[in-house]
Amino acid sequence: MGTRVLTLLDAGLIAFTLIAIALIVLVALRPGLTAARGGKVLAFIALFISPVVATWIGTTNHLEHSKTTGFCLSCHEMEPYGRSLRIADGDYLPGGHFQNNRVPREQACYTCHTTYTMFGDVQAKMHGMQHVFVHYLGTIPENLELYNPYSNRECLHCHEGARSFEEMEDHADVRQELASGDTSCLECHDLVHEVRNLGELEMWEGKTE
Amino acid sequence: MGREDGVTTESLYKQLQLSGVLVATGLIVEVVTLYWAHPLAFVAFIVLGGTLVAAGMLLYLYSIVSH
Repeated sequence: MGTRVLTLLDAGLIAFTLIAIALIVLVALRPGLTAARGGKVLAFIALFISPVVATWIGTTNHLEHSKTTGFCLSCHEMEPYGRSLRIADGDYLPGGHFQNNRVPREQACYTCHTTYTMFGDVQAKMHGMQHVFVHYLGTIPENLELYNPYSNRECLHCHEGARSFEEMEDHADVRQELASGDTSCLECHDLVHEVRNLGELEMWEGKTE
Repeated sequence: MGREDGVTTESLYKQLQLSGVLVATGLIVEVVTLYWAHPLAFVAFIVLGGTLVAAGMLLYLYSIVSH
Protein backbone atom coordinates (compact mmCIF):
# COMPACT_ATOMS: atom_id res chain seq x y z
CA MET A 1 0.00 0.00 0.00
CA GLY A 2 1.57 3.32 -1.09
CA THR A 3 1.69 6.10 1.43
CA ARG A 4 1.63 9.84 0.85
CA VAL A 5 4.16 12.40 1.93
CA LEU A 6 2.13 14.63 4.22
CA THR A 7 2.21 18.40 3.85
CA LEU A 8 1.78 20.98 6.59
CA LEU A 9 -1.88 21.30 5.57
CA ASP A 10 -2.32 17.52 5.91
CA ALA A 11 -0.75 17.64 9.37
CA GLY A 12 -3.06 20.51 10.37
CA LEU A 13 -6.10 18.64 9.11
CA ILE A 14 -5.09 15.49 10.98
CA ALA A 15 -4.53 17.49 14.19
CA PHE A 16 -7.93 19.18 13.77
CA THR A 17 -9.64 15.85 13.16
CA LEU A 18 -8.00 14.24 16.19
CA ILE A 19 -9.17 17.15 18.39
CA ALA A 20 -12.69 16.72 16.93
CA ILE A 21 -12.57 12.99 17.73
CA ALA A 22 -11.45 13.77 21.30
CA LEU A 23 -14.43 16.15 21.72
CA ILE A 24 -16.79 13.51 20.30
CA VAL A 25 -15.43 10.88 22.70
CA LEU A 26 -15.95 13.33 25.58
CA VAL A 27 -19.58 13.93 24.56
CA ALA A 28 -20.19 10.21 24.01
CA LEU A 29 -18.70 9.19 27.35
CA ARG A 30 -20.39 11.98 29.31
CA PRO A 31 -23.64 12.77 27.47
CA GLY A 32 -24.93 14.35 30.69
CA LEU A 33 -22.78 17.37 29.80
CA THR A 34 -25.37 18.28 27.17
CA ALA A 35 -27.93 19.08 29.89
CA ALA A 36 -26.17 22.43 30.37
CA ARG A 37 -26.03 25.17 27.74
CA GLY A 38 -22.24 24.91 27.40
CA GLY A 39 -22.52 21.16 26.87
CA LYS A 40 -25.09 21.67 24.11
CA VAL A 41 -22.70 24.03 22.34
CA LEU A 42 -19.85 21.56 22.82
CA ALA A 43 -21.95 18.71 21.33
CA PHE A 44 -22.97 20.89 18.37
CA ILE A 45 -19.32 21.77 17.68
CA ALA A 46 -18.17 18.16 18.14
CA LEU A 47 -20.94 16.38 16.24
CA PHE A 48 -21.81 18.90 13.54
CA ILE A 49 -19.39 21.79 12.99
CA SER A 50 -16.09 19.91 13.25
CA PRO A 51 -17.09 16.92 11.02
CA VAL A 52 -18.38 19.32 8.35
CA VAL A 53 -15.12 21.32 8.44
CA ALA A 54 -12.92 18.19 8.52
CA THR A 55 -14.80 16.56 5.64
CA TRP A 56 -14.78 19.76 3.58
CA ILE A 57 -11.03 20.29 3.99
CA GLY A 58 -10.39 16.58 3.47
CA THR A 59 -12.34 16.61 0.20
CA THR A 60 -10.37 19.64 -1.02
CA ASN A 61 -7.17 17.91 0.01
CA HIS A 62 -8.04 14.72 -1.88
CA LEU A 63 -9.03 16.71 -4.97
CA GLU A 64 -5.72 18.58 -4.92
CA HIS A 65 -3.81 15.34 -4.46
CA SER A 66 -5.65 13.77 -7.40
CA LYS A 67 -4.02 16.37 -9.67
CA THR A 68 -0.54 15.01 -8.96
CA THR A 69 1.42 12.91 -11.43
CA GLY A 70 2.07 10.33 -8.71
CA PHE A 71 -1.66 9.90 -8.18
CA CYS A 72 -2.32 9.22 -11.88
CA LEU A 73 0.59 6.81 -12.13
CA SER A 74 -0.37 4.91 -8.98
CA CYS A 75 -2.54 2.64 -11.14
CA HIS A 76 -0.30 0.23 -13.05
CA GLU A 77 -2.35 0.74 -16.23
CA MET A 78 -0.90 4.25 -16.40
CA GLU A 79 2.71 3.12 -15.95
CA PRO A 80 3.60 3.16 -19.70
CA TYR A 81 2.11 6.65 -19.99
CA GLY A 82 4.35 7.74 -17.12
CA ARG A 83 7.38 6.20 -18.82
CA SER A 84 6.48 7.98 -22.05
CA LEU A 85 7.19 11.25 -20.24
CA ARG A 86 10.84 10.21 -20.42
CA ILE A 87 11.08 9.66 -24.17
CA ALA A 88 14.31 11.51 -24.95
CA ASP A 89 13.23 12.81 -28.37
CA GLY A 90 11.80 16.26 -27.67
CA ASP A 91 9.46 15.99 -30.66
CA TYR A 92 7.26 13.73 -28.56
CA LEU A 93 4.90 16.20 -26.91
CA PRO A 94 4.47 14.68 -23.43
CA GLY A 95 8.20 14.09 -22.90
CA GLY A 96 9.17 17.44 -24.43
CA HIS A 97 6.81 19.26 -22.09
CA PHE A 98 7.65 17.21 -18.99
CA GLN A 99 11.43 17.21 -19.32
CA ASN A 100 11.69 20.91 -20.16
CA ASN A 101 9.35 22.05 -17.38
CA ARG A 102 6.79 23.37 -19.85
CA VAL A 103 4.29 21.74 -17.52
CA PRO A 104 4.77 21.42 -13.77
CA ARG A 105 6.22 17.94 -13.33
CA GLU A 106 4.25 17.24 -10.19
CA GLN A 107 1.01 17.92 -12.10
CA ALA A 108 2.08 16.80 -15.57
CA CYS A 109 -0.96 14.62 -16.41
CA TYR A 110 -3.54 17.04 -15.06
CA THR A 111 -2.06 20.07 -16.85
CA CYS A 112 -2.76 18.55 -20.28
CA HIS A 113 -5.85 16.50 -19.35
CA THR A 114 -7.80 19.06 -17.32
CA THR A 115 -11.25 17.63 -17.94
CA TYR A 116 -10.34 14.01 -17.31
CA THR A 117 -12.43 12.02 -14.78
CA MET A 118 -12.50 13.85 -11.44
CA PHE A 119 -12.23 17.34 -12.92
CA GLY A 120 -14.56 16.89 -15.85
CA ASP A 121 -18.34 17.03 -16.06
CA VAL A 122 -20.65 14.53 -14.39
CA GLN A 123 -20.14 12.02 -17.19
CA ALA A 124 -16.35 12.29 -16.83
CA LYS A 125 -16.64 11.73 -13.08
CA MET A 126 -18.76 8.64 -13.72
CA HIS A 127 -16.03 7.43 -16.07
CA GLY A 128 -13.55 7.88 -13.21
CA MET A 129 -15.68 5.69 -10.94
CA GLN A 130 -15.96 3.18 -13.77
CA HIS A 131 -12.15 3.08 -14.04
CA VAL A 132 -11.87 2.19 -10.35
CA PHE A 133 -14.49 -0.54 -10.80
CA VAL A 134 -12.77 -1.98 -13.89
CA HIS A 135 -9.36 -1.78 -12.20
CA TYR A 136 -10.49 -4.10 -9.40
CA LEU A 137 -13.33 -6.15 -10.83
CA GLY A 138 -13.35 -5.84 -14.60
CA THR A 139 -11.18 -6.59 -17.60
CA ILE A 140 -8.72 -3.85 -18.43
CA PRO A 141 -8.72 -3.11 -22.19
CA GLU A 142 -5.43 -3.72 -23.98
CA ASN A 143 -5.53 -0.33 -25.65
CA LEU A 144 -6.54 2.63 -23.53
CA GLU A 145 -8.13 5.48 -25.43
CA LEU A 146 -9.59 8.86 -24.54
CA TYR A 147 -13.38 8.97 -24.56
CA ASN A 148 -13.39 12.09 -26.74
CA PRO A 149 -10.89 13.45 -29.27
CA TYR A 150 -8.15 15.46 -27.56
CA SER A 151 -9.39 19.03 -27.30
CA ASN A 152 -7.32 21.98 -28.58
CA ARG A 153 -8.39 23.80 -25.43
CA GLU A 154 -5.83 21.72 -23.50
CA CYS A 155 -3.04 23.20 -25.66
CA LEU A 156 -4.43 26.69 -26.09
CA HIS A 157 -4.97 27.40 -22.41
CA CYS A 158 -1.16 27.74 -22.24
CA HIS A 159 -0.04 28.43 -25.81
CA GLU A 160 -2.65 30.97 -26.90
CA GLY A 161 -1.12 34.42 -26.60
CA ALA A 162 2.42 33.04 -26.31
CA ARG A 163 4.84 34.69 -28.74
CA SER A 164 6.20 31.33 -29.91
CA PHE A 165 2.68 30.29 -30.86
CA GLU A 166 1.33 33.57 -32.20
CA GLU A 167 4.30 34.44 -34.44
CA MET A 168 4.57 31.05 -36.11
CA GLU A 169 3.36 31.32 -39.71
CA ASP A 170 1.92 27.81 -39.79
CA HIS A 171 -0.34 28.71 -36.89
CA ALA A 172 -1.52 31.96 -38.50
CA ASP A 173 -2.99 30.02 -41.42
CA VAL A 174 -5.19 27.87 -39.18
CA ARG A 175 -5.87 30.20 -36.26
CA GLN A 176 -9.67 30.11 -36.68
CA GLU A 177 -9.79 26.37 -37.24
CA LEU A 178 -7.69 25.76 -34.13
CA ALA A 179 -9.91 28.01 -32.02
CA SER A 180 -13.09 26.35 -33.25
CA GLY A 181 -11.66 22.84 -33.02
CA ASP A 182 -12.16 22.14 -36.72
CA THR A 183 -8.44 21.44 -36.95
CA SER A 184 -6.76 19.50 -34.17
CA CYS A 185 -3.36 20.54 -32.87
CA LEU A 186 -2.47 16.84 -33.06
CA GLU A 187 -2.90 16.82 -36.83
CA CYS A 188 0.59 18.35 -37.05
CA HIS A 189 1.96 17.60 -33.55
CA ASP A 190 1.14 13.92 -33.75
CA LEU A 191 3.90 12.38 -31.63
CA VAL A 192 2.30 11.81 -28.27
CA HIS A 193 2.55 9.06 -25.63
CA GLU A 194 3.56 6.29 -28.05
CA VAL A 195 3.20 3.59 -25.38
CA ARG A 196 3.33 0.71 -27.86
CA ASN A 197 6.91 1.42 -28.95
CA LEU A 198 8.50 2.49 -25.67
CA GLY A 199 11.03 -0.32 -25.78
CA GLU A 200 12.45 0.97 -29.07
CA LEU A 201 12.83 4.59 -27.99
CA GLU A 202 15.69 6.20 -26.14
CA MET A 203 14.75 7.34 -22.66
CA TRP A 204 15.87 10.38 -20.69
CA GLU A 205 17.47 9.31 -17.42
CA GLY A 206 17.52 12.72 -15.74
CA LYS A 207 16.22 13.25 -12.22
CA THR A 208 12.90 14.99 -11.80
CA GLU A 209 12.94 15.69 -8.05
CA MET B 1 -44.04 12.28 34.35
CA GLY B 2 -40.60 12.14 35.99
CA ARG B 3 -40.09 8.58 34.74
CA GLU B 4 -41.02 9.63 31.19
CA ASP B 5 -38.47 12.45 31.38
CA GLY B 6 -35.84 9.96 32.52
CA VAL B 7 -36.61 7.60 29.64
CA THR B 8 -36.50 10.47 27.14
CA THR B 9 -33.17 11.71 28.48
CA GLU B 10 -31.74 8.21 28.41
CA SER B 11 -32.89 7.79 24.81
CA LEU B 12 -31.32 11.16 23.89
CA TYR B 13 -28.04 10.14 25.48
CA LYS B 14 -28.02 6.84 23.60
CA GLN B 15 -28.65 8.60 20.31
CA LEU B 16 -25.87 11.10 21.08
CA GLN B 17 -23.51 8.25 21.85
CA LEU B 18 -24.42 6.38 18.68
CA SER B 19 -24.02 9.51 16.56
CA GLY B 20 -20.66 10.10 18.27
CA VAL B 21 -19.52 6.59 17.39
CA LEU B 22 -20.61 7.04 13.75
CA VAL B 23 -19.00 10.46 13.32
CA ALA B 24 -15.78 9.44 15.09
CA THR B 25 -15.48 6.25 13.00
CA GLY B 26 -16.10 8.25 9.83
CA LEU B 27 -13.44 10.80 10.80
CA ILE B 28 -10.95 8.02 11.57
CA VAL B 29 -11.61 6.54 8.10
CA GLU B 30 -11.13 9.99 6.56
CA VAL B 31 -7.81 10.52 8.37
CA VAL B 32 -6.51 7.09 7.35
CA THR B 33 -7.30 7.80 3.69
CA LEU B 34 -5.10 10.93 3.86
CA TYR B 35 -2.07 8.65 4.29
CA TRP B 36 -3.00 6.41 1.37
CA ALA B 37 -1.62 7.34 -2.07
CA HIS B 38 -4.12 5.58 -4.30
CA PRO B 39 -7.28 6.56 -6.24
CA LEU B 40 -9.25 4.19 -4.02
CA ALA B 41 -8.39 6.45 -1.07
CA PHE B 42 -10.76 9.12 -2.35
CA VAL B 43 -13.51 6.57 -2.93
CA ALA B 44 -13.04 5.26 0.63
CA PHE B 45 -12.98 8.85 1.93
CA ILE B 46 -16.30 9.75 0.30
CA VAL B 47 -18.20 6.48 0.29
CA LEU B 48 -17.16 5.08 3.66
CA GLY B 49 -15.97 8.06 5.69
CA GLY B 50 -18.47 10.53 4.25
CA THR B 51 -21.41 8.18 4.72
CA LEU B 52 -20.52 7.41 8.34
CA VAL B 53 -20.01 11.11 9.15
CA ALA B 54 -23.25 12.09 7.39
CA ALA B 55 -25.21 9.34 9.15
CA GLY B 56 -23.82 10.40 12.54
CA MET B 57 -24.57 14.06 11.92
CA LEU B 58 -28.12 13.32 10.78
CA LEU B 59 -28.73 11.14 13.84
CA TYR B 60 -27.41 13.95 16.06
CA LEU B 61 -29.69 16.52 14.39
CA TYR B 62 -32.65 14.13 14.68
CA SER B 63 -31.90 13.52 18.36
CA ILE B 64 -31.88 17.23 19.25
CA VAL B 65 -35.08 18.06 17.37
CA SER B 66 -36.98 15.00 18.60
CA HIS B 67 -36.35 15.50 22.32
